[in-house]
Amino acid sequence: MIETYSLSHKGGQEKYVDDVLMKVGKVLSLCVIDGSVFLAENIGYSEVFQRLFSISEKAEDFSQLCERFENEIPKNTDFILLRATDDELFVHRHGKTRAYIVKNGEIKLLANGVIGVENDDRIIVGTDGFYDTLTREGVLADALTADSCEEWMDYVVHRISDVNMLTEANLTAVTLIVRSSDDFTKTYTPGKRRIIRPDDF
Amino acid sequence: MIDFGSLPKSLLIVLIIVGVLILSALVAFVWFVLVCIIHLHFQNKNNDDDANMNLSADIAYFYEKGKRERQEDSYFVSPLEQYNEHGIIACISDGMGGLSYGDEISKQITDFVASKYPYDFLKREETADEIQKLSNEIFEKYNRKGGATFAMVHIFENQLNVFSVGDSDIILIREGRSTILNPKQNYISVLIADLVRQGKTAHEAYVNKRARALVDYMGNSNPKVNFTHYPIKLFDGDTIIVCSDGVTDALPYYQMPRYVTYDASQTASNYKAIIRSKSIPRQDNYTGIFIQLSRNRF
Repeated sequence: MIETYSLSHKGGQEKYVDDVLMKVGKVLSLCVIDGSVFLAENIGYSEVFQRLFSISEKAEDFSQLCERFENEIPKNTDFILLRATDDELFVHRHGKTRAYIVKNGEIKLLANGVIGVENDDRIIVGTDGFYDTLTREGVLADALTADSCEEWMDYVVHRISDVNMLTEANLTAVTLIVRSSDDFTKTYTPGKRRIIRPDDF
Repeated sequence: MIDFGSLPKSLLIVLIIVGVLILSALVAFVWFVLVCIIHLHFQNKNNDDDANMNLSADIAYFYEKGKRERQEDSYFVSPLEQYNEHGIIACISDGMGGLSYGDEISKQITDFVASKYPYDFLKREETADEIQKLSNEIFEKYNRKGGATFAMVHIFENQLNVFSVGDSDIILIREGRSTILNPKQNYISVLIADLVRQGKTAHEAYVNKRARALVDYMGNSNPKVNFTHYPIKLFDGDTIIVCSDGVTDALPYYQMPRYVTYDASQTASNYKAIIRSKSIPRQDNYTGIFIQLSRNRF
């Protein structure tokens, strides 16, 4: 099973124009779209993405699905399409929206194609604006330290915040962790620790 | 069938020369291909050997009181002679200001780390549990009247495990970029997370007067010990700095790469000199351990 956590934050912009389309099931389908291009050209492709994404679950051949996206969506758009199972990850990236995988203590940019995944592999998908202030080492360290997808996202967002207080671009990203079912149960066993807030002193 | 005897003598010579040339070219080509295969084979073997070779470690540290009356930092570095067998453990603990017993507690923590050395690199969770148990013992003894932060690295076979509680820093400098590796457990983290969930920017968190207060520390009951669930791979030229906030408050982490040299002692001297030169009136205790990794060290 794949654990996910999604962030959609407008940053310091007036509008949130990116989009995250996700279907969770036995197979996880995900599409992250950078909407800044649409905004600049004052056009809306959201419906096209949604229509295409709705068929993504049924489409058996990922490469045919990618071809359809490529044919129907304008060339200057930035998006990434992912399909993930417990042991395989299909990636189709168009533009600067990109994904990284944390595996064996290293972080690597995911190229278009298919790769094998295994328990505890960690993947982060985000728009160019999201990665703008981050270093690979920071994302890597956060991935390896975090207990969950949500915690990983919190750590990464804290890094962005330390640079610009989240006052710049829209922030759109999804964190994913491949979990074996035993591992997932273990991770979410409620702890008994107590967090001390400053008022407690 | 060609009767070579009937050919003119000059044409026969030309044909022989062409034949010899073709044969020579064929031999040269086969020789070239063989050399390439042999070269590639040995190059791959050398690369594999290089990648598996344990990086050399150079370590230096400083341990300064600053302008404070007491030294409340404490540190431990494992013996370098045992690097190949057990790796390196380097840790610092910084007694919490404003509370009593900071010096006593930080010393207790680093003494505990020293007493448990060597550590099994693969048993990260057990190490984290030991640290949590120690914190609970401190909690029992001091009942939150004192506490300390804690940051520790374990380097073994070109890999790095980090452990931390509180807001001391573990910094990696790689290819001229510096990155803090451990999450800080202070109130600002809680505030930022809350603001993000409300869809707000984080300005409010940074102006909060209690932003830097710790939400977890050694001496708290069942603190969350942050640690890497899988080690970080290390490379030739990496520098790892374990330091108290007295260092990062005086010298922001993003400025750190500019003072790194190829020699850990020189790097530590540079940092110390920079912090001293700033003459900060209420300079906190500052302790820094510098570990530089390289393929060849003479």
